[in-house]
Amino acid sequence: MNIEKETLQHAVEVVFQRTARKDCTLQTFANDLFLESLLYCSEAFGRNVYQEYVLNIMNKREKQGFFQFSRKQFYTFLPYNLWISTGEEKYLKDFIRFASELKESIGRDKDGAVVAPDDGRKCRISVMILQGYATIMSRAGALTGDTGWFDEAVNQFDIYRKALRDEKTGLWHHGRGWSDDPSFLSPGFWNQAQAWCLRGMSEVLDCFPPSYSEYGKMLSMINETALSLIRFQDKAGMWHQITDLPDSYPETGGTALLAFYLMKAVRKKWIPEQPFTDATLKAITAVLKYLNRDGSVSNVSYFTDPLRTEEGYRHLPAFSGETQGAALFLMACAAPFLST
Amino acid sequence: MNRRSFLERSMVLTAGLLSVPAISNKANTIRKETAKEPHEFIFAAICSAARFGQMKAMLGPSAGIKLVKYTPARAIRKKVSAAWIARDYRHRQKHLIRLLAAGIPVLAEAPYSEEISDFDSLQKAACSTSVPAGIALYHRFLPACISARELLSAGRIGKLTSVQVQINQPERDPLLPSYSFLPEAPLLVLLNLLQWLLSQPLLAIRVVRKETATPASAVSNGMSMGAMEDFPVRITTVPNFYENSSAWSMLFIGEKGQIRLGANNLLEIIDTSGAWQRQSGEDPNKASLSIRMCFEDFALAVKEGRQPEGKTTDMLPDCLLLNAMHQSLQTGKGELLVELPFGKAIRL
Repeated sequence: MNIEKETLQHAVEVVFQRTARKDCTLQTFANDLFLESLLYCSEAFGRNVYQEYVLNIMNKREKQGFFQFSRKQFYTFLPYNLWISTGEEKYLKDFIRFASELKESIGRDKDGAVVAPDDGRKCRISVMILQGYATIMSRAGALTGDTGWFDEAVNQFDIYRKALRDEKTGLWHHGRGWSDDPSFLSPGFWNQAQAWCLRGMSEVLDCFPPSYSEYGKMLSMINETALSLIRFQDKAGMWHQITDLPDSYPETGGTALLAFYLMKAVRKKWIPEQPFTDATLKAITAVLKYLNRDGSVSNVSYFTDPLRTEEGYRHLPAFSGETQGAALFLMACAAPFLST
Repeated sequence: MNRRSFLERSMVLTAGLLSVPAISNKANTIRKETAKEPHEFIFAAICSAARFGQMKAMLGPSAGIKLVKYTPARAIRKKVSAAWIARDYRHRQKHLIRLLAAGIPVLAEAPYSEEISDFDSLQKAACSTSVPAGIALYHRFLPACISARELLSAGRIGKLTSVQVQINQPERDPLLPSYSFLPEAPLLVLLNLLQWLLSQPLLAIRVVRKETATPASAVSNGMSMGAMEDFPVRITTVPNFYENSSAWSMLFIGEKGQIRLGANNLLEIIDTSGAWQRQSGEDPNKASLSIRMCFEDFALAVKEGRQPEGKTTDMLPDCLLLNAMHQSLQTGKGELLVELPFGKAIRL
């Protein structure tokens, strides 16, 4: 299966033109994800204009004084990505201090799982927190050479795996403790939760040297997750809003993010080339069909923290045009042409 | 006539008779070929005769699209390019599912239901086929609505602080439905449009109870309050007589200005300049343009194997809203449309 680079480049341009009209200066999860995705597109399609756009936004942020890493928003890692793409040290300023403070101050549940930053009861955990936290830990390890950081990331994945992974399906629950009962597991398997979980594994593994003692453990974790996920991809290439329910709506955001990180895992040789390359290209082809003529992307689930009912996930509306959906779409389009 | 000439003439006659079916078949083929041009996209219209005539007139000579009135069974037999369903809203879902199962792409006007299970059945049918299942949301193709969405998305009036939806005389907007058994239908269309314009869902709604209103419905009650992510939506369904020329209007109030979107392509903006600027005035002819564009978008989606603008997932907010409005009418309280995570609440 092949996808023409020109087709994807055109799709990227259409989405970029629409989304870039918004003011992305404010540091929000969706804006940062969009900027991060533009860095991937810049590399994939050799278009500096995307990187320049990001740098321009960062300059504006710098002038307004909210440039640094933030505890409120650690689901994306824009400054780190900027350091990778520009090589400028200024983007890493204070990163290690930020990571240390986060490690020391973040709340933990009884089993040691890191919890939501604003959770006074210290029991609300979610895959979003895991992927953000573990990525920061492993990057701190990669920058300092101290494997203690890596151990923390692997340890969190271990704890979370025990808490959230369903043995039967191999899929992950979105979170735990998001109800009066601290041990309550969010029901069902929200598609975006699977995708963010894979992102965490992939970003963590990317920082580990193969010589690291727990490298094999993360490798087998990403393999088991990828193998579980591929079972639930539909004929068209999409994953659905509730991953194991094929009659829930096809969900574009999660599918795009899964495509990006499965492709990365293949490129890095963490998972076998087949069937994952075909699955990824099929997913990208499928996601392209949800691009509207105005550059908006449809069927992206409304983003949420963990819910208490499966119905709640199943009936989350999906409106086209929001920034997060655009970002995930851009990542999928860039995936086949990245080399790093 | 001697015996020889009799035989000769008989043979000619027999040959002629034998060739009739062949000629007939040929004629049939020729007829078929002339009836359907090679690139013509045939929409089977499953609707009333009156609606068919109205729609045909509105569609006009749209590029490569032909509308023919068929029953669902005939549409399946004829293997039409696609079907358009505008039957009574309560029967649309049944036809939609049947046609999709037969592999016919379907563009349907909203099959309203307050039962979430009906949405699930619809989504299940859409998931089980590879052909597009579209929902005809005509307002999304009105130039003023497209412009309003762009202005709002680009943050032209800054961060939104509130939205006001005013419904005056919905019958003046030819794109709005009117069903005696579902007085909320125009409201559903407009609130679906609102959510599309802002790319975010309505999270909760409260229908203000008015004991004198008969029959009890969210429309006759006059006022509803809605909530989006971080601003309120005030919905008024009692006509504003100072604004009687307009079927409906939406006023978006932002920190840096306001945008007013009205029926029939009206769009105005007021920003830091301090004066209302008319981006486009009312023009009833724009209704047929948006219908044409909706049909063309769907035909193109079928040809290109992509998803149309309006999809079955677009029915989910309507279903949730209708359900919540009816609940709210009974309880008098605000009702959530979307489940909120633990610890989050909305006050209405």
